[in-house]
Amino acid sequence: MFAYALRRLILAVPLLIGITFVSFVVIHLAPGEPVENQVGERSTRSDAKLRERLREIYGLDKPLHVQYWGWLTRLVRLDFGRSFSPDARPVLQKIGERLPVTLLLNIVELMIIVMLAIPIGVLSATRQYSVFDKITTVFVFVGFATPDFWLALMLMILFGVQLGWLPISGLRSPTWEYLAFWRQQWDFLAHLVLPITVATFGGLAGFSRYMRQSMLEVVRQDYIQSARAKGLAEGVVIGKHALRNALLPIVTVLGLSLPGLIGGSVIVETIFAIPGMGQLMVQAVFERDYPVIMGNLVIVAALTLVANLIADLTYSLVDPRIRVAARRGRR
Amino acid sequence: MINPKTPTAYAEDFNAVETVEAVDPYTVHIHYKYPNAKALQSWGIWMLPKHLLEAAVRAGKLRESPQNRTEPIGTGPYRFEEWRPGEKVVLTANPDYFEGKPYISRVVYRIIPSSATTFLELKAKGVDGAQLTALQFKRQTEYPAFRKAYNKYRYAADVYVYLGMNLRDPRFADRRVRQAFAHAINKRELIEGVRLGLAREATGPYKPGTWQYNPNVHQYPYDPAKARALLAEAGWTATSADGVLTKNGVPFKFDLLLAQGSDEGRKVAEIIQASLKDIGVQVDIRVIEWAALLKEYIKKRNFETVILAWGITPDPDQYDIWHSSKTKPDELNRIGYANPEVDKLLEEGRSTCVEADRKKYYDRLQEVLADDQPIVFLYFRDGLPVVSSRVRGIVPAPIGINYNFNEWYVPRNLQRYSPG
Repeated sequence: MFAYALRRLILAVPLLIGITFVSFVVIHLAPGEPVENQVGERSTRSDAKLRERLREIYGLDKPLHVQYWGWLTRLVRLDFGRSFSPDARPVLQKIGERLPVTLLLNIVELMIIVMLAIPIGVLSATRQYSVFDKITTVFVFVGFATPDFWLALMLMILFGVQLGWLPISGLRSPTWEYLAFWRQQWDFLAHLVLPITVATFGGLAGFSRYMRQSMLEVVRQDYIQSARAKGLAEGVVIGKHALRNALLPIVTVLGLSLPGLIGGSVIVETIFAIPGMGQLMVQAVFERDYPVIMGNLVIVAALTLVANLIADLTYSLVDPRIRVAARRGRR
Repeated sequence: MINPKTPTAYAEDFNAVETVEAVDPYTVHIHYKYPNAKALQSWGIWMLPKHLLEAAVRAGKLRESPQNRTEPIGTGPYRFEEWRPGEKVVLTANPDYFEGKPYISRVVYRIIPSSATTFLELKAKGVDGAQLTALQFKRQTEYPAFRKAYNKYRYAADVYVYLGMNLRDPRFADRRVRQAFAHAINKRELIEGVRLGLAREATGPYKPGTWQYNPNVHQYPYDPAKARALLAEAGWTATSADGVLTKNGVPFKFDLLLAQGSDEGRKVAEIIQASLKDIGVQVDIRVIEWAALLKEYIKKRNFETVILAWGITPDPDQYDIWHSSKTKPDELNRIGYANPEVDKLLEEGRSTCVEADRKKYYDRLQEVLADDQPIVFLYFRDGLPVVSSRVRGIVPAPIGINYNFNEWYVPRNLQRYSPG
């Protein structure tokens, strides 16, 4: 298994180069160029010479493969370059200040979804077509169909304006610096409640349905029937034998969700004024801020490759059949 | 600024400077090589700390220096305390400010991308001041609790919206066609529909209430009959079966381009489409993403008509937009306007510093532009700020309310945040 992992990691390098090259070309295919928003296009002042100079500085006048090669050689030295936007700050800095918030929100959201979806899925499967099953089905699908921004605004009006229980937007109160330490943490948590609620409500549907479906398939298997025939308590049959098998596809899905953790939802971020990755990326695309877009892409691509590998390895760890088959295959 | 390694649009302003001398700690004398009226405005920039930036300028790295973003220092009424990107900027009062220390000791700018969220924050008293949208200002803030907690202000902002026409297109090169469009669009109705009345009609590129504004120019009242007559004069006499005017068998139809994301722009476009349909002109609206619109259509002069807006400066010089020499792809005379009288007025207006003389040139400029209608001037939108009613000292002026921010104060018994 170690050799397998090593082989995958080595293969990942040319794969990464391929991904970045194709992405680079596709991004540059979009019409429009970066120097626009820098120079106050809609103001009654401008200078054509400035635009030429900026194009030169960014290397936009060189042919595409030359630009790509330049970017790649800098990347190998872990130099992600500087943003093309007016603040010209290093790309890693811009990503670095937004990534933690996005990661925090996404990880908490994922944990809550998994903690809720597994019981919901199991109970729905074991009590298929019961009232519980029907109600939870409707509930999760309503959550899936509800537009995020509408739900966000409704919750903000109820809990923020009318009841005054929770803060409406941002991550901290304006007077956060003057609060005592524990009040600060409480304040931060309070700001996270609404965004996480909105994000979770929509995401529940996917996982709970996977869980339900997987459980349904497992419960019909012969070995479950033999476990019952042996006289085991239903709780043990379901909770130990069925669940372990039913969780396998969930592990895979979880693994594949890893790259998604660093992408923020731009809608939730915009409504809640949270400075996250979603906003950064959407803005970068509209501004044609190539270094930032490519920076994000590299991170996501690398994460995807790693996450795939982890998912595969975990699956073989969790499912002995795969381990055995691999060993047999090698002989 | 004039160091060639510094990428800036404003080098031109300073290249004409001959000498600069500091006469005393509060006065600087600047000599120019020739009279340049825009000079005063260009010195509205802040002073830069030489001791921190000299090395950066020489290396061509002025843009990347922390002075620009993370640790600026300057001579204004407030000191920079903190910037959390995407979240907030915090300023504290500067006790050494030359006009005296400002009363409000701490200011937090919260960055909130959604106007709906801003509005909810106002209602929940989470923020003390913000700009409202037209709808919020007119319809959603008229209830007693809001009016008690906040004061609403209204002033003409420095932005006007217009219908631009590509003057290289022979149809639009004819002045009568442009004037016909101006008569066909009911500007009052436009303002009512798009801005709920919260805008002022634009008859030219200057704002009413400023010294350079000339109200005595050719007006274009809503008059579809006159519009049709003008079009007929220009040769658009025949009408096809579906009511579209034709000339030499070619129907009068064109594309109206619009930047994506502007709800206001879209409404303007739709109203214009309907207005022009009434006089027999067919307009097809195309919404295009901003960066693409700029690069592929506007810069390549590949457009027929477009809805855009200009931000104007306090100084009336608008050479870059109207002068016939400014028509290269990156330059701002995008419609291709060329009028020798206008060229001369622009040149003379900017080369004298006597306001009375400049007024003569700019008055005449507005008359010519109104006659020519190179673009159809639509409206100056209103700025709609609201501020918590506990803040005193606000004096609205044509430029807005923020100009005397350092004089605003809150009486002690109404203070919400204790000094920290």
